[in-house]
Amino acid sequence: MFELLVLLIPLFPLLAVLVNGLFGHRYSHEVAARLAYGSVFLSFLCALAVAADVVADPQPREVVAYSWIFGGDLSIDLAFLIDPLTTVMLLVVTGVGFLIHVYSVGYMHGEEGFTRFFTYMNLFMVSMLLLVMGNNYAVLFIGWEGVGLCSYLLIGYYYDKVSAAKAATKAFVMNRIGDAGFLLAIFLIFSHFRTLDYTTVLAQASELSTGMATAIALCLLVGAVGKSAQLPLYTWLPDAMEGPTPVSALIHAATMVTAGVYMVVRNHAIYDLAPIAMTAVGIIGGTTALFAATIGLVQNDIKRVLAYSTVSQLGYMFLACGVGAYIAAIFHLVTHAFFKALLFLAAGSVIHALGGEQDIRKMGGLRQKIPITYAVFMIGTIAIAGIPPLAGFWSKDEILAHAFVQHHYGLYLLGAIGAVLTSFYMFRLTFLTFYGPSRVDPHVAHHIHESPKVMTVPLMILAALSIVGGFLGVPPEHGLLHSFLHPVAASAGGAAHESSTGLVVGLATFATLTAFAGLGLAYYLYVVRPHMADEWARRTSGLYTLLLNKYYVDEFYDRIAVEPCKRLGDMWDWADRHIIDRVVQGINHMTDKGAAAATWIEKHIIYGGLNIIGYANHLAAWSWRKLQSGMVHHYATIIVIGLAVLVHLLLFWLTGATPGSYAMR
Amino acid sequence: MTFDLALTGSDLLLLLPEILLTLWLCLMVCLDFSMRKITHQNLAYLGIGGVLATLVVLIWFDLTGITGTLFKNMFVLDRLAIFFKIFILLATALVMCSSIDSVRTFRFFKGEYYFLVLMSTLGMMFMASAGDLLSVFVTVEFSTFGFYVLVAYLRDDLRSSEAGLKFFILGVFAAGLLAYGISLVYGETGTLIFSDIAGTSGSYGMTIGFLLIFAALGFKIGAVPFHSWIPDTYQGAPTPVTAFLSIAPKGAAIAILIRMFYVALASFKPMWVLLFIAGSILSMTYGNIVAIAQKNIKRLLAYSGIAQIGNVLIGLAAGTKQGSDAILFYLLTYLFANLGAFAVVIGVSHIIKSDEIEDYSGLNRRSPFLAASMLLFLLSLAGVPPLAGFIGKLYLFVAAIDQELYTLLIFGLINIIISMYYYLIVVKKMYINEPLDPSPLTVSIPLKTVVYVGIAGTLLLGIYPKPFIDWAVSATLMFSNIAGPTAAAGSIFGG
Repeated sequence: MFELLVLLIPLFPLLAVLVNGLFGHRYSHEVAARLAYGSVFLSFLCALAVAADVVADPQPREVVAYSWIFGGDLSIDLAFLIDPLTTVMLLVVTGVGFLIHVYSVGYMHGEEGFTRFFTYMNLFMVSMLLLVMGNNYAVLFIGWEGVGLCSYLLIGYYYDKVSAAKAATKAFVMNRIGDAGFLLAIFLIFSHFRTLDYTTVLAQASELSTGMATAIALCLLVGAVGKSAQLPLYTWLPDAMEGPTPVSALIHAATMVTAGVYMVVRNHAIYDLAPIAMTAVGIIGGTTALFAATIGLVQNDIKRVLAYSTVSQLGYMFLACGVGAYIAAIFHLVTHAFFKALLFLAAGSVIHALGGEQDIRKMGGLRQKIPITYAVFMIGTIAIAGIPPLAGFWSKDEILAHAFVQHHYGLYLLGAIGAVLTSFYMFRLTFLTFYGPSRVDPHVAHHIHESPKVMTVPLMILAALSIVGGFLGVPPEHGLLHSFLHPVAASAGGAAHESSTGLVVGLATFATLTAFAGLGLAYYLYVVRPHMADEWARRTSGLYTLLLNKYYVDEFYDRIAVEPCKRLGDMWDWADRHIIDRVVQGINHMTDKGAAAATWIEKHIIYGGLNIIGYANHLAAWSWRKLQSGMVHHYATIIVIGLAVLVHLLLFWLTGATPGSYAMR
Repeated sequence: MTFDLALTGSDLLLLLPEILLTLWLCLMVCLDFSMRKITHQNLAYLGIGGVLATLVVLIWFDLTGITGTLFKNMFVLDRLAIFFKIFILLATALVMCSSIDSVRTFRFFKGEYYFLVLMSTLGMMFMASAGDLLSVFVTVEFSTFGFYVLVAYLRDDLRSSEAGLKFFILGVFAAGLLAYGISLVYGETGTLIFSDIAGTSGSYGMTIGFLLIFAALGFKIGAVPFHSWIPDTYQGAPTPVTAFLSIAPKGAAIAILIRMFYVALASFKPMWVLLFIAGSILSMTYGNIVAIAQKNIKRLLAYSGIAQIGNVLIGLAAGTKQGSDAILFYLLTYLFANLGAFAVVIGVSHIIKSDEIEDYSGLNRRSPFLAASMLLFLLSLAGVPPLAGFIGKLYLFVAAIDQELYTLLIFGLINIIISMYYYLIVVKKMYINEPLDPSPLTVSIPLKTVVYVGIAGTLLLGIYPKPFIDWAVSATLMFSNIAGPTAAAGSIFGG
């Protein structure tokens, strides 16, 4: 029964993909949509049942679907591992996934390619489920590539946008760079353990030498950095916002981009052995958290602000992994899934209300016009800003407390500054969108309407989760989530257990104060004194432009990688097209010279006869002409003879032998 | 040296597939000339029937384990040969099936087309069985002659004639290299038979000899630096011929390469491993980078094919049983994905009369079926799981890791990224760009069959590869003892 339930989880969406993909054009959009979100809901129910089972007995269990690859000493099963970590991921993916599917029914209503959209979304669910459920690196990799592919297809969903197409390609190729590292890690693991099963590899991980563990951990990190949009491979995520908003919510906020965090936590047995890799994870996380937050300060596209915020929040999760606070990382992953999905979907609701407008400079004063959206957006903002008692406060504070208690003061500082900035740019976004005078285009203004129930109900559920989600981890270090995850993701260094209550409370108070500081500053700049912000931007125009242009990282990558590669391709292509022609022309030339020489000899020395000159002229004439089928065997003979001579010369040069001595042997 | 050419009944049995196909060929020619009414389509179906009948015989051989050698080892029928013969026949059947539409548009010699295809197939079947250098030369030339004509088949098309000509000139050159290499090896060892060469030791002459033979076979498979004929020829040849050229001769030449290097030149392994490592890295990198610049889908597939051969050479660079298993399986995955992709190209160019990638814009809206299948094939070629190509690449890389060829592995991984880029360019055109002409495209039934077979193969080999891996493993059982890390290669190119 348990096995069946586990197998059914990815099977339901897979069936929906097949049915909608093959027969979707035969029935109405409504049926297709029902099939799509219905299948995800069934998966969610199965996941709940599985979760109940795991709570009763948290022992990791393996469920084998079938023997997938088998030959020589390579043997891989299509197998699933069900343990508390997988269970948490399953619930998040299917639960949030279901809500976003329902929301999409309203959001995508009337779009061309409605069925196609849901087919891709379900395919994404299948891949994501394989990713979190797999019991070996190969299954993980299928899911890993599958989500990348769906992300590609969904980013490029809007045909008519050139920018969408570019963004889609960029996302896939950047992910592929990460994948190369990931594959290398997989091969290193295989060469060392001769298997790819988690159970064996992670159990025997302690036998790894530090060097090998570091190598594997760093290669895995490259993969995680690509998928989770961390420095330096983060530039694809903001561009990925070209896709429909539910896609941004599901793939580029709640689930896929957190796969890197999941992978690091899953492999924490390897990371624990590699202090250098751990430091790298922490530094990448901390710098990304701050770096992306600074860019988020000045962006004007509502979805792009949220995108940079996602990059930044993922940075916090990596920071947590880097200081060994794996449970805190997963905790933040869960709460982030709630409030970031909420924020994206609410942003979608705003965009929907304004008929596609995404520029916050053309919003403002929407508070009264779309009150439900406003309310849920505000809840999301408070949650992400880290104001208690909403979800984000608990998880973010736990990460920062871990960093502080374990003496990673540098990382703590990065995170703490990032937190102020987060609070600031999120409230800036909220105030610019919902407060102040309306800057909406007049002809759009009178169309503004609240979204239908099918969209607002998922929003309200997510808002509720964003409010109470944090209590999964309360009291800090001993919450429900902690005790559940403890067997699989216990922190490396004994965590903050020894720290005094006073210190923890002090840090929490400080974090709350910084969050309020961000809120206050944003309120002052964008509500009380709206013109002050522009003033500041003018005064620091250099820095402002730098931030607005995202530190010119995209341009830099184009210059150092994309352009040279293309140019090399063009150059070699030119060579390929022309060298053969040159060879042929060269032969022509040689023949002509030969013919001319022959002509000369014949003309002046031997005969001088008119008919012979005529023959030689004829010979010269055909050899000048472009290649023609009749005389080709001549050229071929010449090539063979010429090359034979060359090879002979080469041979004698190589052996140092004379032609005679070689022939004698 | 004398040959005992007396054949007994059981000897004839070993030749049954070739004999059957030859008789079938003769029958087809007779029918084509004698029966005015027979259409080229029926001729095609007849030919496919013959190929399938031969396939059945070979599968029967494989299942019952009928093997043996003839003519003093000149003709070897072992499980490796049977594997490659089935591979070649499968490719032939699919190519013939996808040719029907194009042949209809030919102005002359419709019936002879199938005859020539089958002649080449016959030659390649003998290639798979070549057990000495003389038969290598004869069979390679035998199979190539058919291709010379096929490439230039569009007599009135300048491009086709030019392609045929270039192919011919360079092909003859390669034949010269081959003959010269063979003569050098014979001079050094005094024998032409692979199993006898194995026992000898050689010097520079031997080294240069097998270098030249490798160059000639490298020409057939299109490995850098012997690839230069490929793009022009692929572009100019009629597309079904290009499809045929891109898979069947490569398979046959790989069969010879495996047999020659694993059996005859086993004692030179430290040397040829370096050769294959270099060839592999060059082919992958060159093929993939130049592919980015392509505007024509046939040229793109040509360069992609060069890169794919680079992948195959990884297996030879490993030089182990595992390496040869991986090559066999990889070729199978390549067969389905590549022929499938070409079938889509044939279907599209048949209607829009263009092979420019630009004209694939919005294909998804004109024919979702063609676009989706092309997507699948390209992803398989790029090695995206869970499609066939992924498992093929996984196997090759694992074989390389076993020999600690980490440099090669890293180059392979980098190339996977680069290849993704240009495959995606096509995908982007098909799925995201606007179609220039939104009228729907329809595909004929034979072509659709090929695409379906391609899809089935690509999915099956990805999702349930076990029986095919088992097949590949059992086909190379004779190399079980060729294991052992190569110290020389390890120290130079390893970690």
